[in-house]
Amino acid sequence: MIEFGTDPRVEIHCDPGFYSFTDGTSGKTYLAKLIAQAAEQGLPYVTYSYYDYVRGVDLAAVCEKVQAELVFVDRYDMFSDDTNIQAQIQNLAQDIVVLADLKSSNPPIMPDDYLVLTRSAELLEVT
Amino acid sequence: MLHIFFADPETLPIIQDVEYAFSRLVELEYPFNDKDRKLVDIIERGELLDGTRFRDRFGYELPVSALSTGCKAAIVTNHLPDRLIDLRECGKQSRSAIIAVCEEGNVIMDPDNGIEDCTNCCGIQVSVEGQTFTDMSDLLYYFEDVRARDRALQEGEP
Repeated sequence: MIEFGTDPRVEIHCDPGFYSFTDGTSGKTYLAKLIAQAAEQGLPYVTYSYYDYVRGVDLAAVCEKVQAELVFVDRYDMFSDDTNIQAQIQNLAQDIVVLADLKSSNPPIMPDDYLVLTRSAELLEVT
Repeated sequence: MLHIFFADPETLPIIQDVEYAFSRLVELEYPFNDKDRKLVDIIERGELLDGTRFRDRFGYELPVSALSTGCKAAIVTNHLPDRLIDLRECGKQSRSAIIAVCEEGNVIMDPDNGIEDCTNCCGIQVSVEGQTFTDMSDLLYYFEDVRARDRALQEGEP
């Protein structure tokens, strides 16, 4: 389990792999924001969005630099057809948890599983 | 009429980055209207408070930048009916809310990404592939037919 003490606290219950969320899950962007906050505090997490992609940010290089243990790929539908990113995600997902905001029912790489996000004032839980 | 396309007709300016389009609407202070409020109600189960804030389903007041991408796409569809809005970042609920609420505009979506009935028995004004739909259940059947047709094509059936 990955756990960090932002406000609200976040718990992510999954093994290394590539995950998306069940349709209708709300709070994904909020989760990405909390992961980014934790990363700013020095935790080995990475958030990567469409604007990083457009600016040519190298996902694998960023992850290697911080020895990432958790990656959140936001708005992945916008660049899911990029085979280079697909390869990077598949490579990362062998060792760490890669979460993606992905809406397509036929993405180029299928998630290992679809997660559910629940939220209270104190806890945001991903299972 | 809301026109749904399954492929780009290349006759309309297309908006693919709905986050950017929404941020421009906010910057330009487009006045939110009753349809926007309904879209936020259906998609976020929240309440649009004014042009800059909404209350989410948990009761938190947040900036409109924190609306889901699907909800932003819906509001962009509502305000820019002369553009083609790409709904690839929309979940089923957002796509369905757009169909239920937006009476005009143009959207492009993958028929494999389904829709559901959130009209609460109200009519719709939708055109797909030259056919007009005023009832959501008829549109749901049509989407099923399109998926079946596409599957048959992929499997090489006549």
